[in-house]
Amino acid sequence: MRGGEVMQQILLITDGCSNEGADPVKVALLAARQGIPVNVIGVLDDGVLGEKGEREVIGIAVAGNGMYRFTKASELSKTVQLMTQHTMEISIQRTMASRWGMNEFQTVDSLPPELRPSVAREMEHAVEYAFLEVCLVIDLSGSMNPKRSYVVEAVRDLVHTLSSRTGEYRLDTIVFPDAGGGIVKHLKVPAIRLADAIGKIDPQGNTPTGPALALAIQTLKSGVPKDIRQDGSRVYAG
Amino acid sequence: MGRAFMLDKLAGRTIIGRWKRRTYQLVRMLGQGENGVVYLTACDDAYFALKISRDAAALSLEWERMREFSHALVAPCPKVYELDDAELDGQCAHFFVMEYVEGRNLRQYVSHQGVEAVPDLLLQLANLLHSLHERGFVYGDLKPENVLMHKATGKPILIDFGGVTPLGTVVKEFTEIYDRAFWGWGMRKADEHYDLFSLAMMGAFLYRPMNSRTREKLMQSSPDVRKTALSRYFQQLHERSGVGRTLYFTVCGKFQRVEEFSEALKNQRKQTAFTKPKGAISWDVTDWGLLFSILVFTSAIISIWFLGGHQSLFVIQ
Ligand SMILES: Nc1ncnc2c1ncn2[C@@H]1O[C@H](COP(=O)(O)OP(=O)(O)OP(=O)(O)O)[C@@H](O)[C@H]1O
Repeated sequence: MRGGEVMQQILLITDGCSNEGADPVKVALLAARQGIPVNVIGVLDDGVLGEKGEREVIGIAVAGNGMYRFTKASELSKTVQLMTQHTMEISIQRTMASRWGMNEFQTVDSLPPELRPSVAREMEHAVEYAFLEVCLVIDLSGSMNPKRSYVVEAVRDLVHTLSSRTGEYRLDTIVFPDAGGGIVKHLKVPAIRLADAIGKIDPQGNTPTGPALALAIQTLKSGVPKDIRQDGSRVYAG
Repeated sequence: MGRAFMLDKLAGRTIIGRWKRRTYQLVRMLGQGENGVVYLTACDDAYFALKISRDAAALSLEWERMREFSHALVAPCPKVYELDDAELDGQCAHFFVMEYVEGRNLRQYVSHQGVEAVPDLLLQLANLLHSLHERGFVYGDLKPENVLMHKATGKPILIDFGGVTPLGTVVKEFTEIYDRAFWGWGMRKADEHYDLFSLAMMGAFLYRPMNSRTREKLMQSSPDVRKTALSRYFQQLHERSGVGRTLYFTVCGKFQRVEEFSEALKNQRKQTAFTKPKGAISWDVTDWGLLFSILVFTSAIISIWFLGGHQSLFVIQ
């Protein structure tokens, strides 16, 4: 099989409740309608996120047809990778279902056990070769300050994994709020410099989660990269 | 992920395979992880281990990967039997049955037996990894919890084949402190050295564990910082064990193949056994080299001193 599949996903990393701009749950619904799943990681301080924040995390993931997880900052890196991987598997399963005589709501489960391994093998292969487009949406509001170094390393680690895949990828990052005075910001740097770029931002200000998700959808829907680098990362115009 | 997971509350229950119609009594839970829960199970008067999960694709792939090795001369993993589904409270779950390995995991084993057992264990594990590599796979998530010591045979065996990855593709599962990319020593791509790296780190940490505070700190540092920390760690380790040097060479990529690693480890052990009566300071090649160069240097100084008519060398005239 050629690297035919294109898989898009949004991954939101946040530690609280939005307090500026559009309702993120509604924006997530829009993403899902366009076939982009929205996953959410709630980063916990001492094991709590607050009831309101927790409800919002779940709401966004459910509306966005994605999954959610609450995790300690030190487990962030692992969680990011697990989610990205798992989402790819689910997307592949959906797009390939018809090939095995299933509709898109059926999964490998509906096949007799002895047929599953070869399907699973084909999925594994497709996940490795697919063109993956991930848009990270990262909360850098004031409360994220003590967790920023974990976020930086989690991003660096994700880039490591993405560039170790055979298939190409495109990684975009939206941070919010925009330290430059705007509401949200698309970080236009090549993947290998992304982590360091995030490390230079001082977390402060509000939490405009909704607008950030909206920009993520827009980015995935347009934003054709200018050039593909050797390591799979993309170079943007401007 | 985000849904109720009650697969760990099944001890004492009986499940019936939906396709093969066999009955399994779940005796007690043996352990659980990211991909499922493992129970000790009784079926037809024999004991087995049964792994149950909600992820049919991952489970069946793991089952198949293990089955590929069922006929190997030295089996790297437990033998697998049936792959089937079970109806539980109206929900469907998937499971497979495998040989029950009675014994402790590697961490428990070493803390009981002492670190003297480590080099030999590493050699045996290297052989198991080699059998995977020969078939085009990399084990991936090597860690003490994924190695069981067979009580009956005293030999190590690898469990959890969920992370077994075809050579040349991205490593599916890993644990930071045994992961090559985490320490800044290479990609997260499945090749022989990826497994060797984890093996060496595992060996090292069995000698001298890393405390959780250091681990936490390293999680927040860049791979470059981690790399430096690691070389410092190995320096200290070497003072305790001559094996440390071989392990560090492996980490640095000096040995890319399992054979090279095993060879080096065997040589290292021979040397240690020869020069090191228990508890004494061990001398190895570099130490003898150092002694030799000191002797050469001293004799050179003395002869210069004689030839130069007993003038002091250190007086600038
Ligand atoms: N064949 C076996 N015999 C005895 N005990 C077993 C066997 N297989 C697994 N176990 C026990 O069950 C535990 C969980 O198994 P396993 O590691 O396969 O689960 P997992 O969900 O894949 O975990 P991970 O999160 O490490 O991927 C093991 O740590 C081990 O203690």
